[in-house]
Amino acid sequence: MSDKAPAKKITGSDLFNMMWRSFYIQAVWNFERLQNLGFLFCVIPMIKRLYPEKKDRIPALNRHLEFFNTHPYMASIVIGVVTSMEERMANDPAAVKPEDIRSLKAIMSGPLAAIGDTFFWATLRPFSALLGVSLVLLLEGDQMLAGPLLFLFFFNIFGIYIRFGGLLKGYRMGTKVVDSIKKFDTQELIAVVNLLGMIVLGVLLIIYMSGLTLWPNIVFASTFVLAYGLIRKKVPTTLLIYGVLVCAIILSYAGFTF
Amino acid sequence: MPSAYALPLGVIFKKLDIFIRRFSNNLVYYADEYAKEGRMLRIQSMVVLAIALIVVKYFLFYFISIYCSLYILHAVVQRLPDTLIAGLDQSWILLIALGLAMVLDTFMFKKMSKENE
Repeated sequence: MSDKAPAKKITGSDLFNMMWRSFYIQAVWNFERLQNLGFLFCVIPMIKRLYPEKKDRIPALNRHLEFFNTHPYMASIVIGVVTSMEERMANDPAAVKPEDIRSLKAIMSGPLAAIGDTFFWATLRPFSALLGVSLVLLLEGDQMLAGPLLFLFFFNIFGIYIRFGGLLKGYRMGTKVVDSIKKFDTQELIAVVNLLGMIVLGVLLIIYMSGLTLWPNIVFASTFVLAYGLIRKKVPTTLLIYGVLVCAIILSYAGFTF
Repeated sequence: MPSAYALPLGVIFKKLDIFIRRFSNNLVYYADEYAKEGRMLRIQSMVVLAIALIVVKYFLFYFISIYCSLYILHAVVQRLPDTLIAGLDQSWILLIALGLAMVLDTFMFKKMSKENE
């Protein structure tokens, strides 16, 4: 009979538990250490599994209460990698040091935040919103509800995929996931979504303008061109919105209707 | 005017937001203490409390303000002069053009900055 302790292994249910917990990573966002408590909340199933003794848990709990901040969706990748490293450390303390886990969290969080912010917030969200707005402009009555639903579905499907897939990939690949992220061409993906966005916008403009009569068409086209020029000149968009309202009221006073 | 109602509601929301964020800081201090003792259930209860506060902050506040604004805005719009209503009524086409111009700007010439790569 061997004296060796049985290997500690993260189960599928632990991973699933961490996945749904990752939705709450920003729940205790705080000015001092940002997502630290949210991160700890996500990895608690892993700590429970790997450190059954209370005294062994304390260093792990303190380790994951340190400063942490990244994009909330991309955090799943870090959670996966950290889980893999903690598992290795729990089975062989010489293989991974707590400092390695600390530095990996610090190294990965910055670039992942940049990728997540640029892709999810600045590219995918406007694109999803454009798809939703297109439906609202083209449909009528109760059918218009399909617009916001499409926006929510399209945007969240990517978010949920990266939360779940990122955690699994991070756990399976461990630190090798860093090389995988390096090879992934985010710039190209953003360019493709931008191109798709412009195609959808072009189609929407053609369909929408074909439904207008002559004067509204002229007003619409000239406002579009003028507004775009002003936006390029860095005129604040809030000012433009109020400006448009004031213009519409002045035109109405002057008897110009379209 | 709608802005007369929007301002106090906005101030109340911001005060509530800052209060909850400050409260979250305290939760982290409690969590630090619980972590030193290895009390995971207590740490998790801190997060559950924070989630409950988020529900109060966003869901209830938005629900109440949107629900109330239905009646407030209806009363406000009924008091506006007809010419103003006619002007706002025809602003829809201009607002769509402006919105789509903003979308075009979002998709044009956008690149991830070098330091973010």
